[in-house]
Amino acid sequence: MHCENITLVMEDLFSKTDLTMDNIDAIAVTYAPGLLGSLLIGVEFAKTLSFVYNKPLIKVNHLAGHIYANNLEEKLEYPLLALVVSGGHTELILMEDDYKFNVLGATLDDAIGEVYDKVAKVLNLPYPGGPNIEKYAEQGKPNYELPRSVLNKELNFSFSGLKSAVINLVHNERQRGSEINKYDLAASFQEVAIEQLIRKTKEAILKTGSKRLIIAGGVSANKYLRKEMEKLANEYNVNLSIPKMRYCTDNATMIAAAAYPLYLKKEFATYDLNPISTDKLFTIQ
Amino acid sequence: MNTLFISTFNESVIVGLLKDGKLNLNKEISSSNNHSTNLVPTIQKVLEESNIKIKEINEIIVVNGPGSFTGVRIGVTVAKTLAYTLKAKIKTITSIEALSLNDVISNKIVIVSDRKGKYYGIFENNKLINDIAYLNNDEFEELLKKYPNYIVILNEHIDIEKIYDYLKDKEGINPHNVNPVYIKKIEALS
Repeated sequence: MHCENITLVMEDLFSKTDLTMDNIDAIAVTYAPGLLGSLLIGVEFAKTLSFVYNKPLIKVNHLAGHIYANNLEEKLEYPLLALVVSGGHTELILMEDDYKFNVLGATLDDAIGEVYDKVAKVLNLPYPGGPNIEKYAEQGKPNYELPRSVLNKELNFSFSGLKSAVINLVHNERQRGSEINKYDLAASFQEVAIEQLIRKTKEAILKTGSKRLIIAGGVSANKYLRKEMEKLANEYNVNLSIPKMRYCTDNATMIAAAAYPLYLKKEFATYDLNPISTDKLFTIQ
Repeated sequence: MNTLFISTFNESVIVGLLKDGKLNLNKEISSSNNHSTNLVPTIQKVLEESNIKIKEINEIIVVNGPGSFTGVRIGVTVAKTLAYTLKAKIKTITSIEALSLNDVISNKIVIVSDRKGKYYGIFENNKLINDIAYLNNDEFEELLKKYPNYIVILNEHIDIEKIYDYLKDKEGINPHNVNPVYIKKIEALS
């Protein structure tokens, strides 16, 4: 459907602003990662705009967009610690400068957003699963005993033990014919899952001495995570940045934000740009 | 009047520039899986070598399928974006009709093949009489039995001037409504 809608979206955008193409300095586009068929439409559209209006073309990695969503309110200052949390990512990254990513720790199994979705599925919560865990958790109490990951002292994450514990608990209760309290289980799961994020982020703050912390990715919209991160930042006197709610989930503004440092460095793309389904922003050892 | 022609439905990227309906310059690049790399740079080259600026294009013609899904999407996206931003007239032609212009045989079946089967159009007295459809290779063999006196056209040449003439009296389309013709169901389209 992207090909059908792409020019309509542009028309809609310019109908809602006083800006015209004359006010635009560059065209930024997501080139990776994602579904090729979708990326392709954006890339070809962006190349054509760049060509017609004679504006530089800038290729942006989707994940960089989530990170630079934090640059929309306040300019990022380095070095900083970034926690990336989404359906595909759970990483702690030390950024010494723009586009310099040093991965301190990553999940050894499932990503946090993925576990939220899987737990929602086993609890038969309606779509969208992950965000609904949060809603159910708000109305429940963390009464269920669930295992906390007590990995090594390194900054890696693990969620598969927690996930299996929730699944087993639900199955056992169902076999016994007793009712699961979905609200309480959602609250129990969320408390343990987020506690791990907080604990590892705290360790990273202590290890690096970083005075700045940013949160990026779709899970940064989770209100419980936001609240707990604020507590942590206060306790350790760290400057915390979390994108506004509407910039936490996928959006085009964050892609423009991520393009800005590349624009200043004149890192422009050429018209032979090809989308890449799997290109990584950084590698995890 | 300057017309830009774009075709990407098969293994070739074809870009042509016509001045008042006469072909000024065209480039064809065989690029099977790399249309995205080639299309916009080829448009740029054709314009440069013709000494025409993109803003001087008055009309776009695009072959909007059926054929390679990816190829068609690339060509159509670039063509409709050009037409929309340049406020240029845009016209479409299906791949089957475009290929039908290669010869004067009046009763024929024009095909666009992929690995498993064929898109086809049946022409009687040079008029397309069916809705363009897709059959796998065995089904297509069966179909041919029903049309014994029809000639299957295998010529894949794209004659840009003939396409221009074929569309000459047709109205332009709103660029928002210029869309790919897929015919086949698309798996995992997003």
